[in-house]
Parts: sequence; structure tokens; C-alpha cells
Amino acid sequence: MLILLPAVFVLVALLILPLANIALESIRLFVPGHVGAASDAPYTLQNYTELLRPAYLRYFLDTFRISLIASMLALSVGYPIAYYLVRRAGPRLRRIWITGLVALIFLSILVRVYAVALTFGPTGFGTEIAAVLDISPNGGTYLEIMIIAGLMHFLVPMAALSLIATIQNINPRLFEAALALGAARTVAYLTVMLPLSARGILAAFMLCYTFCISAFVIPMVLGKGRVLFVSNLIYSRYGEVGDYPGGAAISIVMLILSVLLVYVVTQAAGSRWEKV
Amino acid sequence: MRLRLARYADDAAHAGAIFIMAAAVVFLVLPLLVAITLSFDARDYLGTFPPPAFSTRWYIRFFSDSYFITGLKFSLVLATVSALVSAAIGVGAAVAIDSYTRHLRNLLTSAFLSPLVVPGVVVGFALLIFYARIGLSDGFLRLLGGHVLVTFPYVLRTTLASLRGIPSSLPQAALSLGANERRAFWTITFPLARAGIVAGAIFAFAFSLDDVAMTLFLTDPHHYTLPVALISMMYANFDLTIAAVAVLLVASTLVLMICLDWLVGLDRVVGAGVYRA
Amino acid sequence: MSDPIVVLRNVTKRYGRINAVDDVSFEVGKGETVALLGPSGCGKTTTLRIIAGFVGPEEGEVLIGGRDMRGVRPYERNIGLVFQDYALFPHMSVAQNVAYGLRQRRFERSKVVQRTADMLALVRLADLGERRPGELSGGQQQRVALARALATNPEVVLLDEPLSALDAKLREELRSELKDILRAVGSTTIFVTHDQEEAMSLAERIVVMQAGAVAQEGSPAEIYGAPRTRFVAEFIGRSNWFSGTLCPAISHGLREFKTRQGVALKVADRDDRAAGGWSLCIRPERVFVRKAADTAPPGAAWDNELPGTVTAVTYLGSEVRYAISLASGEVVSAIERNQDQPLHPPGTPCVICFSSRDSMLVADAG
Repeated sequence: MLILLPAVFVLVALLILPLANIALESIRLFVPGHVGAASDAPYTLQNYTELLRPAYLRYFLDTFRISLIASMLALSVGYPIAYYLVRRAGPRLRRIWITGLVALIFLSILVRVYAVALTFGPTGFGTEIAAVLDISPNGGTYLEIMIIAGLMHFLVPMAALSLIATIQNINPRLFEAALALGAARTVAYLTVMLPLSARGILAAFMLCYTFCISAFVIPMVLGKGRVLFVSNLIYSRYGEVGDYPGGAAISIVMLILSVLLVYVVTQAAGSRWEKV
Repeated sequence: MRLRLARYADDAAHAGAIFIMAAAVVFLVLPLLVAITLSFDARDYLGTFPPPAFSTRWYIRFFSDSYFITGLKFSLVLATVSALVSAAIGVGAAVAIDSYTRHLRNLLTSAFLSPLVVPGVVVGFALLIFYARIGLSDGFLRLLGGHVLVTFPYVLRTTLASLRGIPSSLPQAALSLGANERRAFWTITFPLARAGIVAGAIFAFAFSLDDVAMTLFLTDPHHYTLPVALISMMYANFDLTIAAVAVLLVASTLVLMICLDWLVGLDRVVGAGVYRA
Repeated sequence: MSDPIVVLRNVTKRYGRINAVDDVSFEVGKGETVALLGPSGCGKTTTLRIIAGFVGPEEGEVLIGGRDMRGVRPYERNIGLVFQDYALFPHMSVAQNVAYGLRQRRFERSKVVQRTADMLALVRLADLGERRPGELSGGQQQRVALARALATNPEVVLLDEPLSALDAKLREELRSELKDILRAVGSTTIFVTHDQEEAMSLAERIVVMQAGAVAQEGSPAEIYGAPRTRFVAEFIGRSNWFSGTLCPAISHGLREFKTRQGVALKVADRDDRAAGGWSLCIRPERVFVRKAADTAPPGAAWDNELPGTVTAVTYLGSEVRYAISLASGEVVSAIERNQDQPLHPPGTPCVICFSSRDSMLVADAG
């Protein structure tokens, strides 16, 4: 159909071709001093193998580790909120909360990161919090904590809203049936509601995790250059060194990881719980 | 005995949930309050919280700096154009996709939503190199391309959701009454899907305005957005001008939200689920 | 039929390897009301949609007003369609809904206004023109849908399960209203239903469909009194069955029927029906139950009596239903109008009685 054409054009011209282009670029040799690969550069896998070196692997591991912590925390906070709003809260409270959460999502990313930096950094309560945890307020660990805090500021609303949708679609009569059969609320919850919302929880987790590993601004501002995520690595490769092939290689790896993540989790969620 | 334990467990869980919610509120709102308070700080340097005296110096600093104002104007223009282009593209795609069978529909939807899966950095980087290769040097067009790519999926998603909510008997009724396919679309389908289209356009506008990761790669000294200007400022000297901007952005977000609620109703944005309470 | 408005000839529609509509033919005359009756999945709705033009048949032809409808789009036909969910446009007022067809066919403005008002008056919703469909009750919505379909004076009005969305009481009320409106307009009507009561009360002719094909076509009396297959007999009204063999005639119009259990019954039938295996159907309303100890009332018209025992009695206010287990083994149901007669409790030895004239013979393979 003709009206599909503009969308197809956008997708092909602005996504598929450029991605193919950097895939190509990533297998060309980079000579330091040049900007990007020379037009006659030979093909090589060097850019990828370089990433296996501990220096770079460390950034990947940092990214995955911090993202995992942040995502799991966000879900543990988001789920009770979502559950309470759907099942226990009155319509007014629910409206206020949802408005607030949606407002937060609309709010500029810079504003939120900056606000977190101000509040939990040295100018805010940073020194006090660090003292309680018995670590240096300027150390790497505290920076990681700040990044997690910054990530959670985004993840909690996302997770809560996503889980609200899931929980709303579970028949409340199932919970009541469990209660009528003698299960206490907590038990009924763990044995009935949780398994049924498993798919939604997995989806929310995936949402959070993919957001985290592609985070750029949050680690950039809160990491102060000392804690880097993979996306920051791409930027430094391009901006500071002009190593396009290197940046391209990291980009391709990031892309494949994101897509794989989406695919794997969807499959896992689908196959295991389909029988329910 | 077991029942009593069960009841204590329930009460404890309930209390725990309330506690988590309260803590969440504090965690989410506190930074904003701190930023807002500090934006009125009278000191001309970044000192510790709380500020000893208040002034509007940072706001004045922001509005008198042509660097920021240029960025702001550019951001607004770019976001508006992106939203409009995305709306046109997204609606067209949604209408086409809605008329296909289930498998093709799912395939196309996944394909067109894929820009959301690609990290912003990767998009920006890929476009930068690609533009260089094909020789596209117009600053505005480069940014427009990137912004449309990452915002039209939002329009597509909300419009598709809207279209799915229209019972198929409605356009069929229009056909049976003498309207051809085109007229049935414009008099029946489009007005009913309008809420979804507008919501999507508003999302497109908001996310375009706010984009940093991709935009950072595609700006140049003559074409830059407000977030990019702020970021470079953050690196240069981390001061409270940004706090002032933050407050302004919070205010405009509220305005945007009110618009969205008035036009579409926020409940619809989130959805009410199949079972109501 | 002279100049029928709607003609279907050998219409077949395939989905994959299944014939949703299988070699269906029938005609509808001007001003007639015909019902397509059958269980869900029998192809009646698909047939309706073929007539409307939303689906094209693989084989056969459809004629409306004498014109071949092959390749003709729904909006190029002059039909009125009432959907099961009414399909009222929620973003338009009632009046705008009714006027929609007139606008699309480019009627001039004054005519549109007049005709809309006429239609709303016809369905007795004259002062609800400015309301939105969402503000109306189910019954009112149904009437708006009807007004909208009739506004353009269509050649044929098609209704898809028009009353199924309403509760029982409302359904009965609206049924007679619907009948009156359609008669007042004099429209040619085809409607689809799974409710045999609806079909019998609204239609002049019924087309009973099963698994995509026409099982039987005729007036309500013909369908009820002379079903051609077991399926039709069971779908319309209730039935008791005896299988057995038809024997040579006893006298003109009267033949002997020997059930499998060996009981001899008298049935009234044509002399030329072949002897052999048949199924005998008696409607429960035509079965009378009397206590074995009682004698038959004077002047009783039945010529068949079978002994048995009452196994269940159900009192339903307007009628009384009995389940009787016959001495020969079959289970029979009888329905009597409630005239405050004394009920026979379960366990009562009784005799069931019916007339040979109420017998209906149906081919053994239903």
C-alpha cells in the first residue's frame, strides 16, 4: 500500500542503511591519527578482538552489572507500587500517582539527571549518605551508587506504569477465589498473582534492562568520566580519538546484545508461561 | 495459630508496601525539589544545600545568554517539525498495517518499532557516518532525519492502539450506507482514532525536545538543541543555570501534561485494563 | 415468484477447504421478510455478508433488483444493513447517524433534514436526535440503527441477529415493533438469527441452514409441521423420536409404523411414501398424558396409546412438562398448557396419547 511507503523509506534510509554502513566500517582498519578509516583501508576483525581485552571488557561488565542491580531494584519497588495502585488505592489516589509517574517520564532527562546529581552529590546529601555507608563520597563505589540512583529515577516510573497494565489484566476473581479457599493474602499473592503476572514482570524487567544498558546521559553526567557505560565508550572513541571503526564495532556489539536480549526474554516469557 | 500468623504476615506485607511507596515518593520527588530550591540560590557559585538566600539570577543568566536561547528556539522548531512529520508517516503506516492479517501486522509492527530498540548512541553514530558518506551536510535535515526516525514509532504505536479499539463494524456500516473506502476513513475511522494520533504526536514532540544521546552526534556549531547546549555547559562549568532551566522545563512539562489530559485523558494513555478495579 | 428482489443461485464461499456457504439458492420477493435460521457456524451470517457485498462468493451469482452484483462494492448497492452490535458512530449524534447514508448519496440538504426527521418519528425517537449513541439504552440504539438503515430507502434491508444483544423481555417487545416498522415501510427484508422463536414470529418464510447448506425452506407452518430432516425437526420446536419401519397402508392416508421395540403405531401419511426405515417425530405439545387408571376423555381424537411411567414433572407456570419412560423403553416428553389440572407425580403409571395426524416422518439419517 502506498501510504506505507514513507515509513518504509524512513526505516530503510535512516536505519537499515546506516546500520549496514557502520557494520561495514567496523571491519575496516583504523590508523591512529586519521579520522575514521581511510577509504582504502583493509578489512579486519581487529576492532572486535580488541574488545575482548580486559580494559574494554571491564566496561561491558560494569554496564551489565550496574544495569542488573538497578533493574532488579526498580522492579522490587515498582511492583508493590503498581499492585497497590491497581488493587487497593481509590480512584483519586490512583489518578494522582499515574499523573505523577507520567509527568516524570515526560520530564527532561537532563533535568532529572541533574537533579539527582545535585541532591546526591557533594552539594547535596552526598557526604552524609557516604558517611552512613562508610565509603568515600568521591570514590568509584559512590559514583556507581549515584548512577544506580539516577537510573532508578527513570526505571521506577517505567516499571510501575508497565506493571500497572499487567496487573490490571489479571482477573481479580482469581485472587478472591484463593482467599475463599483459605489462603492468606500473602500466600494467595505468591501462589496465584505472582505467577500470573510473571510474563508482565519479565517484560517490565526487559524494558528496564534495555534502557539501562543503552543509557548514555546518566552515566555520562553522574559517572564524572570515571565510571563509563558502553555507550560512553562509543562517544569517546568518536569524539576524542576519531576511531570510527572502533566505535562502530562497539555499536554493533551493543546492537546485537539489545536485540538478543529482547528476543531471548520474549521467548522465555512466552514458552514457559503459555500453558498457564 | 496459623491464622493469626497469616494475619500478621498480611499486615506486615501491607505496611511494607506502604513504606516502599512512601520511600519511592521521597526518592522521586526530593531531587526535583532540591533542584527547584537551588535554582533560586542567591550565591553566584554552586554551594551546598540549602541556599542561604534567594534570587532569580540564574533565570536572568539563562534568558540573557544567546547561546541557550538559540538552542531553545531551535529545539522547539525541530520538535514541532519532527512531530508533524512523524504524525504523517506514523498515521499512514498505522492505517496500512491495521488492514493486514495478523502475521503480517505483527511483522510490520515489530519492524517499524525497531528504532526504539536501537540505543540512541548507535543511531546517532550510524547516522553521522552515513550522512558523511552520502554527503548530506544540511544541519537541520540531518537532525530532522534522526529525530523523525526515533519519534515516529511512538505515533505508530498509539495510533495502532487507537485503531484496534474501533470495532470493524463501524467502517463497514459506513460502506453499507454509501461511503466509499476513502470517505469511510475520513468520516469514521480518522475522527475516532484522533485521540491516539494526537497522543502519539505529543509523545513525539516531547521525546524530540528531550533527546540527547543521538542529537549529540548530529549537532554542529550552527545547529544545536537546548539539551546539547546544556550538556556542553555542564562540562564547562557545572553551575545553577541548569537548575533554572530545570524549573522551566518542569513547568512546561506540566503544561504539556495538562494538554494531553484535556485532549485525550491520561487514563487512556495508561489504559484501564480488561477488568475494572 | 415474479420479479424477486434478491436472488441467490448456487452461491458457494470457501475458506481454505471448508465451504462456509455451500451451494445456497433462494429468492426473496418484494416486501417479503425472510429469515436465515441456523446454529452458529452454519453460514447464515456469511451469506448475509455476501448479499451485502463485503464478501465475494467463489461460485454462484447474487442478483439484487435484477442486477448482477458481481464486483459491485457495498456502497454501490442500495442496501440497508443493521449490525449485531448496531455499529452506531459514537462521535456523531443520533440525527447525524441517521443522516449519514443520505449525505453519502448526496441528497440535497432539505431532503436530508426532512427524511431524518421522518425516520426518527417512524422509530419513535423523534426528540432524541441530538443525543449521542452512548447515552441511549440498548433498545433505543437498535431503533436508531434501523432508522439509519431505512433512511436511504434501500432495495433490501439486511439484519444480522437484530435482537440478540437484548434481554428476553425487551426482545419480545422490540420484536413486534420491528415487525410493525418493517411492514409500514414495506421493505424487503432478510434477517439472520439463531433464535427460532424470532424467525417464526418475524418471517414469512424461513431458510434453515446447516453446515453452510440450505436444510429446508418454507413458511413457519411448513417448517414446524413438515420438517424434512431430523436436524430441522430438532432445531425448530421440541421433538420426540421413534425409529422404526413404515409398513403398507391400513387405509387411505393411514399407515402402520412398527417401532424398533416392536410397538405398532398409526401414522397419517401419503400412500406413496416408500416402506422401510424412517424416523417418526411427535411434538411434545401434541402428546397428552393420562393416569393409567383413568379412562380416556370422551371424544378423544388420538389413535395411539402407549403405557409408561412418569419420571419427572416440571411446573413452569404457563405450561407443565412431563418426562415419561415408556414400557417399550423410549423416553418421551409431553408438554401441556397449565389449566390448573392436577399434576401426575413421578412414579405414576400413565398412558401417553397422540394422534396419527400429528405424526411427522423424517428420513432416518437426520
